[in-house]
Amino acid sequence: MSKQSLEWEAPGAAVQPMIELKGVTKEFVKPSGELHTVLHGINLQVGKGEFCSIVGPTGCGKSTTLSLIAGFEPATKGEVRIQGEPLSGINSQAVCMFQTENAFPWKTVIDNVSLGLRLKGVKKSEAYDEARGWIQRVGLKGFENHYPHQLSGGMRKRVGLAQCLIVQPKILLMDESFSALDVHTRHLMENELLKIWSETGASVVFITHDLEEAIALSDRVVVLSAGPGSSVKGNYRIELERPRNVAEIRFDPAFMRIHEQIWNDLRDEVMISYVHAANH
Amino acid sequence: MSMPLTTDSNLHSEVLERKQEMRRRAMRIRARNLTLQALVFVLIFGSWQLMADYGIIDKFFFSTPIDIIKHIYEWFTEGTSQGPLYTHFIVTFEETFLSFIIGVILGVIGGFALGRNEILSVVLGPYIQMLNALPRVVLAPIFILWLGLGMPSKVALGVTLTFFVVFFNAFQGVREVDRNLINNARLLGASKSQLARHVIIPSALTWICPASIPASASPSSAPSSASSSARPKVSAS
Ligand SMILES: Nc1ncnc2c1ncn2[C@@H]1O[C@H](COP(=O)(O)OP(=O)(O)O)[C@@H](O)[C@H]1O
Ligand SMILES: [Mg+2]
Repeated sequence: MSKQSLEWEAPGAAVQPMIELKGVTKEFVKPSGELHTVLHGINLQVGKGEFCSIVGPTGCGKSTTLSLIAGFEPATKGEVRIQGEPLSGINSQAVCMFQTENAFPWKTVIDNVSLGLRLKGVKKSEAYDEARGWIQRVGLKGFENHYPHQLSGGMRKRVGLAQCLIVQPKILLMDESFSALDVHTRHLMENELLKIWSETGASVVFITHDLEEAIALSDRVVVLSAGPGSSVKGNYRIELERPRNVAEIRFDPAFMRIHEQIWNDLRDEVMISYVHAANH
Repeated sequence: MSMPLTTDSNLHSEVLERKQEMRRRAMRIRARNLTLQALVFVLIFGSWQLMADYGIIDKFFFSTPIDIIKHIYEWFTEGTSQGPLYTHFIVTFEETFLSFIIGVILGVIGGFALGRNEILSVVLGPYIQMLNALPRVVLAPIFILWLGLGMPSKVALGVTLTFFVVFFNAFQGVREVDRNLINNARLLGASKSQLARHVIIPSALTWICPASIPASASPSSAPSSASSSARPKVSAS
């Protein structure tokens, strides 16, 4: 299979992307006063309902990219567009699952899950009814009144997922959300994520440093080059059949072919970032 | 069950025995600790009493344990030279309570204000550090000069003990709120005041509460723990 056939092509102009990054550059001022360019001229489009993963070596700016899409911080140069509209301030279409906790430790499961609705002014009884549905959907029925510290890591991730999806977001951002889980729990969560995602039709931007995870989950994998000043190095369409079982898809020959091809791209970047780190 | 049934009763009695053995051991440890504690008590107060009785130390300056107990007993039965004991107790309690409440309120307000406002914390931070570095004991005569010998001067001193502990914990608590939790709430649609109510205040409270309990229970120990390094917990991030 040639590289060309895997390369992703932007959808026609008629189809408006959900998320669009146009020549986005992000710089930080170092304590020494120098400018540190994290991202340089990033161009990226994520379609409606698309599952897009971003991979890249540690410190290349994956989380930074996500925080630009979420609107936590503005881009230094370029533009982030959501459904064609330039984004300013927090992204009201998006929710985010972080690598660390999403659940608020001082709130019970049901209060955590219903929070998004409560903040929007939904009555408590209605919000609770809705939350119970979501709690059941992520398999936490019976734990409504537990606090996060009474749950396992995987269960807390489920709380986070329900908390995010209850507000029916158009965009779900995930920053290495499952990387702290053991491998079995992780596969379970990934399968559940895929199932729920296919029912919601939200666009997902999934950040990971694990290429296998990225391929197993996504419609498309974007490779960022090593920083500083990283940009999009590769853009691969993953045409594996859905529904997928992420625990088993790794043994699929097609999966392995794609993996090898993207890894050839990623390996160079990982080596570059490794050399950078060693020189510091 | 793959285990033969006949061993079940055996197993049961063995478990019981182990349980009793562990209980016995725990009792022995407790008895040993109590004995040692009693021994040290007798050693300290016994030697004090004996040294005073034999004139090795001056009774006028050091008194003796038995004299002290007698005096306290007299206070209870006949009252002190300034009236019955319980009135003193009530006044002291009132002072403690007042200084605790005032100190906590000021500390929480100050900590939140400086924790949330960069400009305030940059401008006022150094002065608060300076005041905190001051030993509280030297303030006592100053407060007495300003406020007299009555309750206000003592409350003021108590407030300086409580305030800084609560202040630094509230400040730290507000500062150390998990950025991801704040961002999570923002994405879920929280306004500024909702953010304070659902995230910042509850998060900071877990820092303030454990700090305010020891500060009020033993004001004398507060100055040593009033530094900002006296964190009740280690931040997770
Ligand atoms: N707020 C910030 N201030 C200064 N530098 C930052 C900030 N956020 C991220 N960086 C820098 O940007 C680079 C990329 O960070 P990040 O996006 O977290 O990488 P990744 O998620 O790919 O591991 C790092 O070198 C980091 O030091
Ligand atoms: Mg990251």
